[in-house]
Amino acid sequence: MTPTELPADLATLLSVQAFIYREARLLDDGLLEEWLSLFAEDGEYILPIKDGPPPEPAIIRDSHARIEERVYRLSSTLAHSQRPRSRTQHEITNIELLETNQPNEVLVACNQTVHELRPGNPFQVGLADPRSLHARCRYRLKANDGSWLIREKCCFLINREYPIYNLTFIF
Amino acid sequence: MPPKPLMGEVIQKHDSIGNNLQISQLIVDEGQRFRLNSSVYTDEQLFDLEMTRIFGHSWLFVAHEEMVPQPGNYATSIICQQPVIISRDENYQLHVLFNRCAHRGSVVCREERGHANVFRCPYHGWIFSNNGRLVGAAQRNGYPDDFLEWGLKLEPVPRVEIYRGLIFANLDPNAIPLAERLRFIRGYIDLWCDRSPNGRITLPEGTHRYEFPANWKFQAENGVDGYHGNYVHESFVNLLERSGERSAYDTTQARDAVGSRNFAKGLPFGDGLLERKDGMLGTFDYRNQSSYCQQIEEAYGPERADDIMMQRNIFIFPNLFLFESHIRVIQPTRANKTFIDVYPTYLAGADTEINEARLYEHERFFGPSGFGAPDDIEIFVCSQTGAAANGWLEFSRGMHRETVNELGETIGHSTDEIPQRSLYREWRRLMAEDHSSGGDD
Repeated sequence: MTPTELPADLATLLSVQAFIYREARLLDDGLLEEWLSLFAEDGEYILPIKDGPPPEPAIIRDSHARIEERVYRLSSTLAHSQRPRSRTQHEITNIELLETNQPNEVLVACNQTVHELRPGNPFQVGLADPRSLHARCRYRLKANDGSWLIREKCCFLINREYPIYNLTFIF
Repeated sequence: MPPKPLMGEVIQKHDSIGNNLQISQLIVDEGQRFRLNSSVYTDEQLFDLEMTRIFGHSWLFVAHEEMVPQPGNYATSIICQQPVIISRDENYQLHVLFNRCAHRGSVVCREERGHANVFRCPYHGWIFSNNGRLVGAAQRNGYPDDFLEWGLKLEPVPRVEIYRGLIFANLDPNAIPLAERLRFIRGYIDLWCDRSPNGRITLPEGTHRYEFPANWKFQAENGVDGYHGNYVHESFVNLLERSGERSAYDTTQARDAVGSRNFAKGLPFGDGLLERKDGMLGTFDYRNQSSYCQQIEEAYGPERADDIMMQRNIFIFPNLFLFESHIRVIQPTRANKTFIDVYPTYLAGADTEINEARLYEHERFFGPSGFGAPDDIEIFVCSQTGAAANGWLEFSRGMHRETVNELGETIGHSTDEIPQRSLYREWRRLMAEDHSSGGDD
């Protein structure tokens, strides 16, 4: 059997999937500067509490400048809540193209589970204690030179209105 | 009033040389030194006593009126680990009711906020009006005709009083009136509310909530601790420097300035304050907001406006903070587990841009993913591990230089541990009181 050309939507889906996997790998490898470069100039990173528009309080409502600040804080300052740094592992499922009708832009849904642990002395509170966080995510991606840039990454944590311990790594 | 030592009430913890300690001996308050035994953070027996002796007799914040503005609105919460419903009835009357069916004890409401004229128990269908009265039950013929006159109801929390929108409740029917309890701190609550040109704080829906595996008192101490900023928040100080908002030198100056209006204060009843004329980390910078500042000046006059614009963290014993950007409530769960609810505020009458910018700055520092508060929580957790190595901790900073002003406030430099000493003196007073004997000493 010879390979045939993929239908356009399937090609887009595979390309989006590869992009989101790559994003996850950069986070899990701690390559935050590279992760930052995946965002468009007007890109935003949001973890809402409610599902409404601003100005409702959010867990994270980062403009591009604040995403840069977040990366700077994690890589170049003494952020106690990330000393030791979280070890993370993203698992991504249910990737679905929600909107493909705009030229050069897609809206993507997926589910993510992040397994997290801060390495260190297991007899100390808060260290060596694995946990998992779950979210339904939405990406608005802009076509860019054969790949994508993130215009918006929005993660609706399953426990977003409820008490959360240390969420200072990037989801 | 000297603490009353408790006969036979020995906490089974040992100091570093192995002596058993009585509750009143967990604090050593002598001369220029104030020491605390680290078992106050780790001992579950002490935690249970804190619930009955402190939380069981204190005026506790349960909600803000803004959470239940209309007839039929309700919110649920806990007070001293007991579930309650805060409900506004058709006559605008506010009720704080135990969330416990009079029949067999199930909660009758499981939502956090909502609108309801009645609460229906999921177990046998008993129905309570939103003022607490029992109005019906399924298969009523199993009860005599006068059943509804038995006085069955959702029991009200014994005492409820409101000050400037803050709803407080008290489990102790004999507690002193709220106004008397707040008489020293009340003026500061007024100043906090008057950051709104209308004197009214509103709450956008959305709460920042934390949990952490450490004792609640670490948060109570830390919210009015002016000493830790340069160290715990070194990261945030760096961010301000990087963005050009404020140099690290200026941040340190704002913290270290001696002289007017850079104070830590300890008030009666365990309350405390941190005051900084030149701003607090994580707080919106009002220095360039001339139209807002003018609005405040027009509303309250220049002298009071100046006082209003002082940055303050206000601690109301045992578990409430009023911060510039939010209300913060500490909910102790166990000796080593705590929940925090942070309610961001809006200033009614201020421009939308001001409120949105305040919120955006709040989100930068606070919340479980903020650039400041999670670093504090990391320290609470480090301290919880450390406290298990039982021994004595120092709360003596500035004790040699504190003074008492004409208002009865103990006052000193903003980095001094005055509010913490105030907190623990009240803690010891209440913990050493045995209310169960019925005596009022």
